[in-house]
Amino acid sequence: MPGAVAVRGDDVTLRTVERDDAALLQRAYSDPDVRVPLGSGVKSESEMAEFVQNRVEGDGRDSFVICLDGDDAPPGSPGDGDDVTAVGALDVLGVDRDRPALSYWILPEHQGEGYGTAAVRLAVDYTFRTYSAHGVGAHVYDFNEASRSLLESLGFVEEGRAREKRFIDGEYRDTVHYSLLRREWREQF
Amino acid sequence: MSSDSRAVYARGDRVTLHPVERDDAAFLQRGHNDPDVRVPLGHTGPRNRAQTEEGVEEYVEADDNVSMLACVDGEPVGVVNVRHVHRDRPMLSYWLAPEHQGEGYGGEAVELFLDTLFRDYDVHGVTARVFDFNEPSRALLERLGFEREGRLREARYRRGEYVDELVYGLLKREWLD
Repeated sequence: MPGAVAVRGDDVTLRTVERDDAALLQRAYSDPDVRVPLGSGVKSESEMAEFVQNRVEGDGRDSFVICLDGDDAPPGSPGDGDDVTAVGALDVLGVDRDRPALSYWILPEHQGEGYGTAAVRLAVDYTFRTYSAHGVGAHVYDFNEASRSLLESLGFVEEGRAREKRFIDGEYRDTVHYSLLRREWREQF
Repeated sequence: MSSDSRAVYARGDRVTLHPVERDDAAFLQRGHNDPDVRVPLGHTGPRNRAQTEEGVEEYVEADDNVSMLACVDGEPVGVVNVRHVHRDRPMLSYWLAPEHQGEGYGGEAVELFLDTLFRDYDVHGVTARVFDFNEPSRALLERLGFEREGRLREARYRRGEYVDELVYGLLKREWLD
């Protein structure tokens, strides 16, 4: 179950990643509909437990579970009966760098509702308000139309393309790089 | 943790003070994550329950730290603590869960805490730092008799900009008068 609210939005809430969220996070390292667009390998349950302890709880990264909170959802860690639904996850990587990077995914069964766009929008606001970063970045594989549209709809600018950078799902894919500068955030958000 | 099993450190009219336990991680987590608490308190980055529990071990249980859980009717409402209690000027900090604010519990908790601190430790004074924009906390310190000793200009990055940090101090003799 995700933990306490860290960032509140109108459509989605970002809550803390708790150790028992390892099973949720494992979807990004198993389910082909999630891991292929992310370019992730496969991880076992015990690898995911280590992942939460070493990476999520490590320095320099802010990790969140993307949640749908009902009207009565508690601000603290929800219990079994509370109306909190986890729909995906989002990381801000390298928070102390000039340009932190965003990584995010939505469970296939919850895609198509705008939750990804809402979560990334919240994360951009959170990053620029919490850290003195000059910009935020993201990279997407060329075939991931949904994610590219998401970033473009939020005003991210395509800056470059690393040709045939990663072998994913049978082919070499381009990595497309996007960024949003702080001044663009101020103007647009 | 039930109110019956909790050890009591001090009793006020409404607020009671208790040692902070590792089991309190779910409540303590609010201080580090809730946007209405973490921003004025000066925290960055989310923290899960495991990290919060480790924090209890590392900070609360440190020899030079005195931390109290403030409760009303057996329910946790906030935390008050000083760090570096053996220095001439320990650093005071406190927070109240947003749903319990506006009732005067914060002032009562800090007052009770300072009473016990000055009685149980030979402390010459305490320092508290608060961001310029944090009106309720400034008012609380001023009501308790703290004096504003300084302003650290654009000292921290909060809410998308650099903000001033105000330094307040209270001497033991001022408290006892």
